Amino acid sequence: MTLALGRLGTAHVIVFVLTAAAPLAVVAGVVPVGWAVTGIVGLPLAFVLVAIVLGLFCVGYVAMARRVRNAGVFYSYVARGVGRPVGVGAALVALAAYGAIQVCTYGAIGPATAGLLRDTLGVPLPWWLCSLAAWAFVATMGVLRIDLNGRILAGFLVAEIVLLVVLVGVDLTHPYGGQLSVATLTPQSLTGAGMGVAFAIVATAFIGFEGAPVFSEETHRRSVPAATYLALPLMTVLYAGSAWAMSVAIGPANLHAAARRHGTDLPFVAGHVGGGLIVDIGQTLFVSSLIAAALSYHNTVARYAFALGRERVLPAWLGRTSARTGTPKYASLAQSAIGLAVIAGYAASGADPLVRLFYWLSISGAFGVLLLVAATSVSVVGFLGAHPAGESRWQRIVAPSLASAGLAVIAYLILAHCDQLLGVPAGSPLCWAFPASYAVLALTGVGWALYLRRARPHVYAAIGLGAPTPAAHLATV
Amino acid sequence: MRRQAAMPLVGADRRGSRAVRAVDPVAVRGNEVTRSSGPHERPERLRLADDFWLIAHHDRSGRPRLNPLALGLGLAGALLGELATTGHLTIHDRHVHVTDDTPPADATSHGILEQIATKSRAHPVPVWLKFLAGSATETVTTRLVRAGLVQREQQRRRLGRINVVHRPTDRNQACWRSVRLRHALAGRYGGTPWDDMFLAGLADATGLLPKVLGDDHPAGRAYVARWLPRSDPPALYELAIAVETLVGDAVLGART
Repeated sequence: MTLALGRLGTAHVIVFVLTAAAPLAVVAGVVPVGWAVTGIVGLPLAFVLVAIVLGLFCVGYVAMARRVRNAGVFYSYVARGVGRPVGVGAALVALAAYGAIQVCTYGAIGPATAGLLRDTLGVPLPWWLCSLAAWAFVATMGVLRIDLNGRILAGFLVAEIVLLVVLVGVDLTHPYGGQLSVATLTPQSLTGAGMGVAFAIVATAFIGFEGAPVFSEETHRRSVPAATYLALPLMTVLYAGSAWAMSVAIGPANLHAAARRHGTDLPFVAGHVGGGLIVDIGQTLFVSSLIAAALSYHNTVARYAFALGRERVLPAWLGRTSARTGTPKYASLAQSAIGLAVIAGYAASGADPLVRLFYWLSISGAFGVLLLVAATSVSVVGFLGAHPAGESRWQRIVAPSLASAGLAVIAYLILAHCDQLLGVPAGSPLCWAFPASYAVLALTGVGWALYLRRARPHVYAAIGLGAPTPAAHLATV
Repeated sequence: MRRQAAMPLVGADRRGSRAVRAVDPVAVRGNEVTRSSGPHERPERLRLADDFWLIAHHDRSGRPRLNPLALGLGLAGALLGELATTGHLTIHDRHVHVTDDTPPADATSHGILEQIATKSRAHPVPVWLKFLAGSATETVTTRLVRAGLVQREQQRRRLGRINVVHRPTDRNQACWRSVRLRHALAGRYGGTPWDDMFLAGLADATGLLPKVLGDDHPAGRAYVARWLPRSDPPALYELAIAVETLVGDAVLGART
């Protein structure tokens, strides 16, 4: 006896994961902006290194997904593995981190769309107007839960991947200076401060890989592991390959200047084919990729807020659904309100949307997700160690421990080189503001959980279980 | 004394008892009571699932006011609730147990009871709810058609497509079910009976409560949340909670 809905296949889950990861948005957005801001060229190698750590993480992660079937994923895993107080801390960090990643997409959608409209139709529009249009679309879809048709999403995704592969081919056949440089793949490219900076940018690119376990309830046993293990290598090959190919075509020494000049058009002009058509197609797919990612993260944030609302950890109104559409209406509206405020704030202040909204917020959001991934990795050891059920030693302890150590190193390197990462002077308050805000959120969560344990023990007992217990209901009255 | 006054009563006690008439947690605005059935007259009762179906559909068009998943789960909860109120089943440790296998008067209930009774062991509440939710809308609609409360209509839509709706035969009666529930919660008929409390609990679980109570739904929600946990039989509360959980799970089971 199962829920009377068709089961989802592995392909569907992969499409979901890769849509959230938005490959073209990474290659045309994160990578060029990273090059432009930091001048660190060793991104291709960093992609491979981070992928190895994330791959180790996934071993325990998918083993846990089989056991804890809760769509609140990170937060419920941490609550079950390390303890409820840390779980609530993780939940608040997750809300902020995914919220930042969702909002940051508007900072890229606006300028890219405005540029596209100016170049193709000759219509000059301010970036924020385009962002607002995308915002309205996402807000509406989020509340109505009009599912973006899986085939359409898959179609766009395939088009993106085909375009990236074509671009790689073009880039590699037009190498700068006539030789295939492997400079960006050598360890020297990552020495010193470069490593932390590159790791942060690359971690940002991989966000989305963690999405598959959300489908635990709706898929066959093997779909979530299969989708995770297929999506991660695919992303690695695409990202590392594209970044390397770009560096070959442009020349490692010229990357910084070229990225500053071309911005998000970089992948499309790198091969010197110069055809207007490929740039237009690339820009269009870039925008669609970003909008799909914006919607995907919008739903992620709304789901987190909803999960916390229905467990009564956050106000219960966040945990209510709309009658007609079954969406987490209030959670969705709350996220939309924040998005609108951020767009309005950036438009009013005149700050550069691409660097200060898209790049900064995506980096800081990704750092939050990285902290979550690390906490989850520790909780996998805690949970599977305490409740083993046929998992191997490798799955229970070795792989998650190695992943935790690797993630801790990455997080340290990011913090240590934060000024270069954000492109601000050393000692800038921004450098401690963004890690500190996560610390404050996590501590607030822990404190709130400890308060709940004393004041509303029934709510506390239900944390991470994914459902209101009968007694939790009583406690809210 | 006051505390007792707020206690919902069941059975014969709920009628005519002065003490319980003081209950008024939900202020009903305006005077929308149909003249023919004044506030002191006990309105006709329907089976729980029939009542929920009528509340969950537009009285005029017969279109659902709920999304299909929540509708199915709400109706499944109501169908099990019918068997719980007749004492045929109980919930123990979140599992459904048959306590009385004498056939219920209603054929639909009988069919469901037989399905539960033939299982060699008890299954958890959510398992039964999910199982019944798949066919609950059709099951209850069929029962309503048989009882003459609802009629099947084919509507021709654009492009020659045919759309089937089930429209209430008596619009006033259909509309009345929501109003009646509101009045029951407001204590117009004395203490709120447990089955009405349960209906309101299902409405809350599926997100329908604001449509039934309008601006008064926060007060109504607080009232239900306060009393439903003490329901008699206790299974009604357990069912409402399980429906809420499953509706929430459907939200989290990301299909977007």
